[in-house]
Amino acid sequence: MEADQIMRRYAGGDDAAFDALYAALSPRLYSFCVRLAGRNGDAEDLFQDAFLKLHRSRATYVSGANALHWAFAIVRSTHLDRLRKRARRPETLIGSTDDVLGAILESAGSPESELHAEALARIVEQELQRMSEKNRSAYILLKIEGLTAVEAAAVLGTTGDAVKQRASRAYEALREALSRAGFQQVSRG
Amino acid sequence: MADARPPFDPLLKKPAPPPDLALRVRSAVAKTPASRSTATRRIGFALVAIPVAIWGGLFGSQIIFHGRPLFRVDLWLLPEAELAERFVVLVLLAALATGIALIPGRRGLGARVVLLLIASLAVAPLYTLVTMVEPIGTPEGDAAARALHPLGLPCALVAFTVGMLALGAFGLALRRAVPAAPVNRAAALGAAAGGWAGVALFLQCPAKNTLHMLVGHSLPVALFALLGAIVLPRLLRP
Repeated sequence: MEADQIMRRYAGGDDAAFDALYAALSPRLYSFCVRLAGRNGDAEDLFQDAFLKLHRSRATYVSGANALHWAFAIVRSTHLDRLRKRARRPETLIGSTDDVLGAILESAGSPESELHAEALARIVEQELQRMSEKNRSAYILLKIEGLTAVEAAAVLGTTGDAVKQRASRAYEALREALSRAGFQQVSRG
Repeated sequence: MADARPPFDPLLKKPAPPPDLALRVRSAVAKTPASRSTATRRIGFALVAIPVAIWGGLFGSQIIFHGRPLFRVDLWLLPEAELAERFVVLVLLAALATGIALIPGRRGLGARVVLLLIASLAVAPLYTLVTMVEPIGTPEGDAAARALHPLGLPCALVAFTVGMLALGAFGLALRRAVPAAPVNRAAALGAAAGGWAGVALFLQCPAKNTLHMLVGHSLPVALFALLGAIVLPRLLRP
């Protein structure tokens, strides 16, 4: 709610509201960027591009709308733009999960649980990067960011049913990947 | 071995933005100009542009096609009730599509995709239905229609002019303001622009000939949804 009020001030031309807006939105927006684009420099570039676009089109923010969801939509739109540009200049950015899987299988049962958790997180991230952008974004919004199907559908520009189907496909893919790594289930989904 | 592992959800860990990123973003934002025209004001301008587009198309056709009347010759001879009924239905159709396509809604992300799809696909068939099923006319109008191009190419040009003016106004109204479903939104804007082009043709052309109506009137109206979907999304994205 607070982010909405700050965004309304910023949309009205109050430049002084930028710092408060950044503080209110950046943690979840950055997390969303990392999930969408991966943990490399892409996420930071995506975050910066998206924040610039949010700034540039701030006057079009509709008072009363959920600022975070509006910002999610801008991030996703920016991400799609970047994917389109990348499709014109193809380059391999996503590696195989095999190396990571190997590492985690080697470390299985070791007391270094933090390393183990990090490796597991990498598997999840890589699996997220391997799946289609539609499935990935639906999963992130629905299962990680906690939006309802209707809210996620508005952000993604599709129907609630389509969001649920995509998130379900993504969940299955993640479960399979973790299962291959020796984990029987994910604690949420 | 696998059974010994505790359940773990790596997704609960939320990565935090690095501190230097804030500085970079702030610096980039300071150098980037932001639009100050609110969504409401832009939509207001777009709505004002609709009658201007219709007038521009009709008036322009008078200049290009010498002797073409501004309004259909039988406009004042048609039965008032029938004329008003058709006209109101066509205006409502175009207005409804315009509302669905333009209004940002309470979420600020536009109408639902299903509504946008309906608006994109329904305008042309409904327009055809209203204008071609038991078309209204008078002997004077029929006589004038016999002199018109059999395929209605001048009418198509009028539709193109009105539609493009309306589409341009709609595109500017939502410039950089559609982060979600820009293609669907653009198609709906195109359909709405086509709907207004159809209104202009209804006011100007007395033709009832099927080929003329299909090629010169309905086809351009239908093509505007496609044109919008192709041309506008890049303009609409933030």
